[in-house]
Amino acid sequence: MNNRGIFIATMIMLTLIFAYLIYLDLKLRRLTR
Amino acid sequence: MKFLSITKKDLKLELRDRQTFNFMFLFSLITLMLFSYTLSFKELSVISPQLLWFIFLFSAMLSLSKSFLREKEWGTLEGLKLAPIKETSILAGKIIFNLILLYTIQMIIFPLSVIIFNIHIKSLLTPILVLTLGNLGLAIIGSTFSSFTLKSKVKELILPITFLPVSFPFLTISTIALEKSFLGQQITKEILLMAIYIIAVATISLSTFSYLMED
Amino acid sequence: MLKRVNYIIGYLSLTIGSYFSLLILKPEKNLGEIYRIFFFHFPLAIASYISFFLCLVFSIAYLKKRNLQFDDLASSSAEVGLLFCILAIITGAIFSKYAWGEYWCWDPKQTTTLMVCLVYASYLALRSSIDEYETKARSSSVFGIFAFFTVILSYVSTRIWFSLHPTIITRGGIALEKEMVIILLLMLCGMLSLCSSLIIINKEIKRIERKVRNE
Repeated sequence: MNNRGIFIATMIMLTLIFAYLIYLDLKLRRLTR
Repeated sequence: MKFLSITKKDLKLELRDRQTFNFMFLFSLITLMLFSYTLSFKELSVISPQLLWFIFLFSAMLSLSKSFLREKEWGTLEGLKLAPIKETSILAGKIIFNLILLYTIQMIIFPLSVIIFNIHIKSLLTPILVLTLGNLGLAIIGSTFSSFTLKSKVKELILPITFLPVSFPFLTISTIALEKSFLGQQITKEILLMAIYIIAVATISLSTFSYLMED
Repeated sequence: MLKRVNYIIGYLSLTIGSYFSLLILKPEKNLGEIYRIFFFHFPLAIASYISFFLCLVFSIAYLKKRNLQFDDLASSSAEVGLLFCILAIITGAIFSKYAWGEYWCWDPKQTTTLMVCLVYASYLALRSSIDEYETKARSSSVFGIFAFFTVILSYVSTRIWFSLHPTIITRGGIALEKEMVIILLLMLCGMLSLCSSLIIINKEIKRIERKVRNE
């Protein structure tokens, strides 16, 4: 049960998810202009 | 009682060549023989009520999609919509017709399965009540979802996929009720739950069916 | 503008919540280290229930108003809810393995939540099998109303059947310590922000797809 490893993995996943969301948002904004 | 004329029309069509009935009967018979061949007596005595219910469920699932598909293939769907009856009467007529179909199959298969599966029945009234409620639930959901086959690309295959998960709570309660009724135990709670489910599903089906019959 | 605030709130609350729940301020209880997954499992489950409820609301709204944007919202909330439900089942199975010894116990809550997943998977299957947009929206709206029954059954399954699933919000109040409640609410807030932003982006994508395909 390496808590720090799990936390780092969670942080990486969260950052990736939100980065992808922001990327999709910007792309949609460019499409619907 | 205009929906009874829809039922009479479907019955007349069915009695002409008895295709759906033959298919359901043969399928139930084959699965009955298959189950009794592959399972030992000890296993059968434990799971026979549930197996019986599954046989009826599968034969219903394969043939209930025909109720609207036949209308579309023969081109009678527009005639139905133009007839001077409400759309809910169309659905009610088809529900009663499917109920009669399920009843006739079960009247033959149920005594056969009692003999083949070696089920000991304490009383005959409660299993018939459970089967009635079960048929009603199956017929209502099956008839409503068979209207999805009209516009779907996979036609009759959409009925098993949509039908099974939605009727899952109903199936669990009815198998428990059937098993308990074979043993002669009290089934008031299960009957109540089945009745609640049937009333809820019937309300939603009859009120939203006019949306499905548009276009 | 509101969307950006939503992203920031979601990211910050999920980061702070997972930091606190995994690393500091959370001493072990008698369950050991494994209870920390509850801080992910509970918000995921609540977010999936809310998404499925939104699917019901948008389905009924489409049937009343016939605006195809409501159908976009209904299908995207079904997809997002399905994703969160699968994640909730996985986290619940991990917790079940370490707390009770097996990944899958056929516990009522586990089984009914799996049924919810299958129902909404068949909702998506129904949507993909119909081509025209209006018929697709109408059929899937009616199916979405039926599909919500399974969600209700899953929610009350701990109350009416004996289940190993712990109920936190009981009659006497909340059975957790105060710091845990704060972190739990933080994670819940973050998950709901993530859920809503996913639904909104998904809905925009579907709307643009529809517009492109209509040309």
